[in-house]
Amino acid sequence: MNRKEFMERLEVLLAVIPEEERQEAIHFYTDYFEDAGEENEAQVIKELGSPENVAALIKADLSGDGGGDGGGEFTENGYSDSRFEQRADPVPRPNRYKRAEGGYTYHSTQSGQSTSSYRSNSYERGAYGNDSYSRDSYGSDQEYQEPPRTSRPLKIVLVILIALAVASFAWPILLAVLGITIGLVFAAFGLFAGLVVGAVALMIAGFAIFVLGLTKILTALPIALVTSGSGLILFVLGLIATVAAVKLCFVMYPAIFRIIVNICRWPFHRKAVS
Amino acid sequence: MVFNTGAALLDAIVLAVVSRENEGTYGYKITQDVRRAIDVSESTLYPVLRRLQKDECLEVYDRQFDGRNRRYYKVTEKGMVQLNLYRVEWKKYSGKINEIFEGGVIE
Repeated sequence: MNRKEFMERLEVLLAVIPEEERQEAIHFYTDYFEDAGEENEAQVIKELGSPENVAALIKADLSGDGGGDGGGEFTENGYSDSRFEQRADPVPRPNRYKRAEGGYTYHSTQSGQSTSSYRSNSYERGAYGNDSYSRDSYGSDQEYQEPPRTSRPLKIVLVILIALAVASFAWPILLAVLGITIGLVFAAFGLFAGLVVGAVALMIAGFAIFVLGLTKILTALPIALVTSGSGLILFVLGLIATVAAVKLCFVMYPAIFRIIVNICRWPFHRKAVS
Repeated sequence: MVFNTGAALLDAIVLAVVSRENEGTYGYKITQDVRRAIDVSESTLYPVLRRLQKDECLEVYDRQFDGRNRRYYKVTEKGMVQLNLYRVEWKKYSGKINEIFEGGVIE
């Protein structure tokens, strides 16, 4: 491509921008070639890249800059310009400035040597023998590949995360239920054991009072009779209560055990059924 | 070049380059001068110049040269104000960076 072809192509590409802008740009690049001189023509064309590249830069700067302050933003995180991303596909992107995580990189080609080899995927501008500008050599850089929205590993991870989240809720509840159950079981045991102990105590107390009443029989007969009598009554009541409590225990403890065993078996049993 | 050149820095360099010529200077020379300082694509310069012109930091005029109208760029009053702002900012910025690079005390 020579200068004439370059300028013609550029003019065609700039047909979409306002007349004034087009003339400005054409004037600039005409001047540019003139001032560079015929001997540098090939060098300038190489350096400019392609008319598409030049046109893309001009258009990018024009679109959306109401205040004339380009839409692109150079920040610490790199160059961000949403317009560029959309432009990248139809119009070949400027070859010597590419988006990277670090921002723009301006490449130098003054000596035909790449000075940006520090970037692994930099556009390699080594020996430049011919005029033809290979487009696919930078095509791969511009491809903006959107990662798939869903993927199998992602799903698995999500399921695990949900399970963990549920588990984090379920565990305390489960533990609480377990704790309450154990507490109730021990309370039941305690209650019945307490009944037995209370009944036995009543029996012993009745017997003790009976004995106490007997010791008073010589000094104060009526008191002794009342005391020993009530002691006997208490003893008998205690005996009945003890028998009843023990019997109750015989009934209740196996029942409690059965309930516990059933509760423990429930999850496994259910699983086996399903 | 290892370091990226931001838009503001590029603007500042272009303004500084143009301001060195009292009579104004032209596109090709500006590009060559800027490229002496930083690795910047030649095709990047035109949009920068055009933007600065729209921002009224640069003014253009055509002058006869070699039988054609060559476009010249000159820094305006507003451009000088902007350039001075950039200079002050750069001094602060580079000063801090130097301080860190050259073993200054970081608190």
